Amino acid sequence: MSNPVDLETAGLSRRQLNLVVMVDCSGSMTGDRIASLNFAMRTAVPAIREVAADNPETDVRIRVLRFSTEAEWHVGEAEPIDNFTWTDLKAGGETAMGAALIAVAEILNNEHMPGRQLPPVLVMVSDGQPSDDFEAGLSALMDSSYGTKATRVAIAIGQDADIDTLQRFIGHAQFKPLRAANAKDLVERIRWATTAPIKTASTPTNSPDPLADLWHEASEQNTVVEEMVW
Amino acid sequence: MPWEVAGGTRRGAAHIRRNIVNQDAFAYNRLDGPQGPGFVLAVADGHGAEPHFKSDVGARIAVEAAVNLFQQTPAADADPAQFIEPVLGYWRRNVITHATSSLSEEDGWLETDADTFLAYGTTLIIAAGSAEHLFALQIGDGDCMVGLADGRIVRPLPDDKGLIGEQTYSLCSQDAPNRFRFGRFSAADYRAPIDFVMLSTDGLAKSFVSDDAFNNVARQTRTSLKTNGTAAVIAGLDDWLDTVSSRGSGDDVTICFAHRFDEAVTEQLGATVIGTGS
Repeated sequence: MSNPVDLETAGLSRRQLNLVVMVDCSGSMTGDRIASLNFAMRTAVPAIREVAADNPETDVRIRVLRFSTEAEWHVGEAEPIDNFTWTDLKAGGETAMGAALIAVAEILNNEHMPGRQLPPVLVMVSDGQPSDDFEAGLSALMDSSYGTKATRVAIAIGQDADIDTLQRFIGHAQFKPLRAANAKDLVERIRWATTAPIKTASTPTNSPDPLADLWHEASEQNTVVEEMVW
Repeated sequence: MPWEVAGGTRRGAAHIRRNIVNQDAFAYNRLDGPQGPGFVLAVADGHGAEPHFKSDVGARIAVEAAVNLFQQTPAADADPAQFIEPVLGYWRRNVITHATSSLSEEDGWLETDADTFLAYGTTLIIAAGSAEHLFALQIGDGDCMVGLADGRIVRPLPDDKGLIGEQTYSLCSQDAPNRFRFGRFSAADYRAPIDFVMLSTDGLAKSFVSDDAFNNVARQTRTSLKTNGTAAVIAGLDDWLDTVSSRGSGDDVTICFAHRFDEAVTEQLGATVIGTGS
């Protein structure tokens, strides 16, 4: 008996799935909104771990970027989800969404995401309009190695969120931004946005449109929008 | 010089955990005829998602189409495009036949032929040829690797275009005839005889850290077959594929290869084989 290849030296590897959460920390997020967001992320982390545990062939990593007057990495090195704990964000300043996209574009490549990759999952959470050059940011994102391949999800908080801009970030006509009108919505949307795409991407299938079911699920997320409390 | 042909498929670790059948299939045959000794290989990867609930059968029909079409070593001057319609026609006819005879209303209402094709959706790679020339056809993902007598490993077919993320093309698509990648490749073009061809479903390549690592898998498989013989490699293949899936992609994994054997050290293998892991 002879193996075709010695697997100890052949570079056998789990595929990596990078989740990047981009959080709007502008002044309009201060108070209940940022508190709700921090609570939502704390409760989402165990759910992400659970999805990752159900898919042991996938190495789930997470990064977090905050953007207000500037964009800066809150968690800049890709953290294995098992080691990750949420550290609360604070709000204040403007909405540098374009700079956030540029910062993410800079890591969507083989240098920062080495080895065999599943399409990255980018989750944008915002309650307002960009205060900088969104077009430049979107252009940089789409020009990056993994930009067009990434699954892009957006959560619009409150009535002032710029739906058209978030829709352009998503770049898929059938996939609308998820609406969060109150704290309960936000918890549910963040939990879905950070787990469902991971579950879909980790499931071995090679169907012609592997995200079709995800888009369908996303549309169901938006069927009930409760009274505004923010 | 005759060819040895062999292959294997295993249910992926993630499919075992979810109690899902193996949706891959493979087939191979040794060929002969006026063009001399040759081979045909085929692998298929059923899509597996819910809309494609009979894709394991679709994959089996797809590889059957390959061995049905290539019953002699193909002529060197054949037009590779001429193989597409017979393959697709065989697959569509037999999918309809299977659905008509096997599916009930409990399986869901399939109103049109297009609905039925969707349920059986699969990729397909076929390689047929000899030491002097190779015909390769592919729709969807997976890998076709060719080894040359001077030790080089080459990919004869170009990558798919126009896909995003993990999307793939499929036999079930209405525009399937336009989604095949195909070509005719000759030893003269390569400046070395063809002595090894390896087909695999995407679960194999995605289990290795990079394209370079996977290319090395093809290179070492060729070396192992040359050094140890087909029978020895086949004897350990199931365990090897299980390890690849459980420590790699988790997907079903299928490999199928042909190589020109050394009669002094290898055994005779080669009746037509169609394999599934179901």
